[in-house]
Amino acid sequence: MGAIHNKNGLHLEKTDVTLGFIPLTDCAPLVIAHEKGYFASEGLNVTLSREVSWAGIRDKVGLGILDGAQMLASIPVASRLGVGGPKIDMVSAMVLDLNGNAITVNNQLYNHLYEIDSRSEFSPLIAAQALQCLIEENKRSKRPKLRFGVVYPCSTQSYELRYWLASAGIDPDRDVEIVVIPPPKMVTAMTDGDIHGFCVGEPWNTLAVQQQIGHVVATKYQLWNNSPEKVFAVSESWSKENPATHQALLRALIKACIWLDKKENRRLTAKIISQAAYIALPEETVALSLMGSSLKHHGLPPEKVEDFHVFHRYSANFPWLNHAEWFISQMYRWGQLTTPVNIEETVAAVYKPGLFRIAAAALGIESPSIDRKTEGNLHEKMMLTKSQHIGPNQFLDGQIISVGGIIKYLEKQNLSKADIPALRLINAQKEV
Amino acid sequence: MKLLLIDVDDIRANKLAPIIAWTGIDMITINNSNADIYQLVGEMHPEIILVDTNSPNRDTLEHLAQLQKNAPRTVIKLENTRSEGINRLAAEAGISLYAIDAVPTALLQALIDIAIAYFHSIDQLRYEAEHIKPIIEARQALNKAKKFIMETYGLAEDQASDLLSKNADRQRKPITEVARQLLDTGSFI
Repeated sequence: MGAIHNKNGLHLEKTDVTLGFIPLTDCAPLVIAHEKGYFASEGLNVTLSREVSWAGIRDKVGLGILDGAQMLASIPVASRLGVGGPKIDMVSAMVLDLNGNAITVNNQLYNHLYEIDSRSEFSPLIAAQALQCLIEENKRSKRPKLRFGVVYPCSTQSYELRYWLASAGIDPDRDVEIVVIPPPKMVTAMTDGDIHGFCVGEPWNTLAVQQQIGHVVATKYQLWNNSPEKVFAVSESWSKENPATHQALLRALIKACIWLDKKENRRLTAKIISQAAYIALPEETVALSLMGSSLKHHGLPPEKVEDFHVFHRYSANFPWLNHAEWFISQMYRWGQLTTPVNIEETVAAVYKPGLFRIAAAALGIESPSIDRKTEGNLHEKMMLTKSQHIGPNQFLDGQIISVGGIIKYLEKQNLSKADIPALRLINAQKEV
Repeated sequence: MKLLLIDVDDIRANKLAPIIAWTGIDMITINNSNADIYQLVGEMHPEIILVDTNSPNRDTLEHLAQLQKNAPRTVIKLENTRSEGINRLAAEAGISLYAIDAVPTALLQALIDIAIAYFHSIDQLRYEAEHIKPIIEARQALNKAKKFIMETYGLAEDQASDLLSKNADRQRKPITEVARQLLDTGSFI
């Protein structure tokens, strides 16, 4: 392969690049970078490949069939550790979006929760407590367990659903049944009565409410404000062989995210990504959450949630190492990971803030100078020195994770299967 | 030993069926996107699963692997061997492999090799045949043209070849074209 230079005179190792995406609202950064010509202006000829499963995306990136992909923020971390699948060394230098998921329950279950406590309508904590009462009642009357759908075992959605359930003392592994269903099949599974609830990304929650089959009881934003959702990931070997191409992709994606975060571009975004080649759903279904309207209940107007999808503001694209640490904490909490690992080393091998800083600097964008931040301490946005601001970051359960305090946080989590002494031993010097 | 084939279309399934039967493995084909994978795998206990690389059921298989220690799990690398075979199985045949831990690596490798060789041989032969066709046709035209010259002018084979190539040079045309022209019109011009 000969050296190819793009119009900025930069050498690219590879110009024909294939990237995978899943039909979800937050495939938008890839689609917009493609449709608005941001890839092309970096000298890249990108082919977008619509994929149907996260396992498929993961393996194809691992095998080199795809050059890179949109991925759940937890997948590169889980793959590095070989949790819930084969061990694949992946890296991510960029977060594509924050928030964007929700937990929806079917009408019958919602009516039960509403009867137990009508504040379930707007409070995720109370809805979870009502669910806990219902589950106790079901146990006494020997009724079968309620079934909830998530999209992938080690997904952000799985950890969010589990977090919500556990906030009311519901054990996700014993008190309910969790099954894996791909996003486009989730609403059908609820209609068919296969599942009573699910946690999935948009536009599938909006679709369920619009079809009047369910109600949203919690959004990802309410569970953990401005938490990472999708990342752009490549295999470690690919990133080493194609450093300039990787940077060019990151620059194009950052430009797309900046464009996407402008309110006035959201309507056009809905029009583009709802097309048959991408999400293939009505524009109105995709538009709602993108325009900052969180539709929770049929028969009631949507709530105004400006931050339902965040693509760039709040330093959204920066791959915070402590976010990767949180995913590892949840893998331990739910027993998906049992071997004690050095958390600090693991996250530094997967999330690459250094690579992000280079791409951002080339576009004249300031990046945070720190790699980790405290979580759970901000109600409002805050300015960082020499960089963009960061957004609110509260957890549903009011917990705070200080920098280096992930094990201390994990120790406080209920229903946890984590072996804290073993983790302390391996991470001894790291803890503050 | 049981092998479950999920979401693999009939064309590919029919290619695989005879060789898998030949190895003595029982193959069960599931080609219904609404099938309950949890129930199927739970009831059948397959040792090996071959699934369409682009099947939406793959994430469910991943979950099963996590729920049950003895369920088949994704294989994308075989210990001490190259992952090239699995890569080609995914890229060329569009099939991903899941197996329980107890299935010997050698058996999996053999299965992958056979599957690829078989897929490859059929597709490759078809591909090559398509490619070879014009070459064979050109040769036939050339031979016929030579025969025509030899019979018409009473020349030997090498003299006929010589005449053909000289005419091709003079007309700045490929020799096969001149041969075809000769056959069509009976004339070099």
